[in-house]
Amino acid sequence: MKVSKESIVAQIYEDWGEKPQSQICIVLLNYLTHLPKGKHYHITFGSLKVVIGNSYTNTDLLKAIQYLCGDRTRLLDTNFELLEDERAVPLSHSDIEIAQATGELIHPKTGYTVKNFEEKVSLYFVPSSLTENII
Amino acid sequence: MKEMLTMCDLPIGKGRDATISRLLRQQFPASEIKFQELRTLYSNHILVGQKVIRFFNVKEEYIDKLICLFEFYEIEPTVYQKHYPFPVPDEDLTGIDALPKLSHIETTDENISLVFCTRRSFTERTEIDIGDFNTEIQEKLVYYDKIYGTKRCIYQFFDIIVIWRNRNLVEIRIDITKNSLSQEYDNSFSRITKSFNSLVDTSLGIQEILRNRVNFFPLIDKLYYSQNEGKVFELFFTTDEGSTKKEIIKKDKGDLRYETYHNAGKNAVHHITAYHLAILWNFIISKHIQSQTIDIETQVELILPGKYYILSSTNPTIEQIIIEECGFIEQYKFIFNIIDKYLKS
Repeated sequence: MKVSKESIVAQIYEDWGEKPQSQICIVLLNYLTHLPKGKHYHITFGSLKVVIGNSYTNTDLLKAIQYLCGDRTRLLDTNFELLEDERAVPLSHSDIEIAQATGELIHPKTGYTVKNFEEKVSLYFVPSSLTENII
Repeated sequence: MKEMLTMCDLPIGKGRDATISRLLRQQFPASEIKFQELRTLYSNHILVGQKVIRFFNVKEEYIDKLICLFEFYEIEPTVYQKHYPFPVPDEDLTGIDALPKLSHIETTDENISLVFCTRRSFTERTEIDIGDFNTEIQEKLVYYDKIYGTKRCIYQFFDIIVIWRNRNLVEIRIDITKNSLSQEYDNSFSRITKSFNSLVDTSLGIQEILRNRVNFFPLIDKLYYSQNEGKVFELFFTTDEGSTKKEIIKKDKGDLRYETYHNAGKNAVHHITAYHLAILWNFIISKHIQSQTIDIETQVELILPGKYYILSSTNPTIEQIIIEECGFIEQYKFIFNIIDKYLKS
């Protein structure tokens, strides 16, 4: 279903009003809707920080990202990966759910338990399906 | 060393040994002043040469207390102090414990530098030439392509703590070697921080004075986008399509910021996200020698050594920097002022 950009902007203002998150969310909305379609993306927190510039704090950005990953205005989906030296192994959401429930992360390729997995798991973002349908 | 000898108007031979023999042939006392000057330059080199550095924010009132404490501090005599600024002979190093020892204090109008000497040991791995063995052993080793030996080496390191007057800043500069691993830096930082914190706790009753580390990560973009600041020769970055790029340009060539391939790539995407930067500056040291001014051209390098995964953090952080090719106080001051300027901007 197609959604107009104006309606998303209106929704963001309705939720955040004069708070910095309104501006941050709109800058991120513009960025995400301008990305070429049909490609794979891997967007880090550091990258989104570059997109919004230096006028906002990390906490302001984090709140805006949490909002954009939420159900109401989902522009971003979250993904996880396991960092091993210079390589990253993709993790599924169920890998993470099991790790959170059991306190143990099983390496998706080797099957071994990953020691200190909290330090090795990294979060990144991809544009949600909604961004594909914004007109 | 070559630049130091030139600055002192001392002769340089072809290579280390030839230089030493030429220096030994110098006539005294005419050259005594030059040697004294060389000693001063060497002492300064200990404070700034080949270091990995951390900055700590410290309250103004604590800085004042530190200055009062160390301005007239009496150093406990040690074997390091006896030989300073020269290293302890190798045969005497083995018997010393591995704890950092305050060995010298250098006071200027701008700061107080505390030199801590430490003995550190490393395991070095060297290839052994099979041809060095006798025929019988060579026959036994016939199925091996290469033979390696390991040996434990002990070196003296000079680690520095600099207390800056009027800046609310304390620096730790750790000596580095070419093959040092980042884990070794961390251990060295942790040892010297612990020693200093404990010394300050005992003397002033201030606990954990060095705990607020400065984050250098914002310097990457500030220096990269500064246009005319230095010459970028290494840039590691990611793009939002999931690629990691490591770009390096030869130091004697251009600047990555203006390189054709780099610019074409950068212009094709919305932005790049940098996590590692190395940048160098040309720096001229002018010296008056026998009524004429000699300009010595040098290059100083600043490395902001980041890993790609710091970009996933909600607070990307780089807590240590490396300054290379820096042998003179003037060069260090130059880089320090640039860092200070961009950290504040």
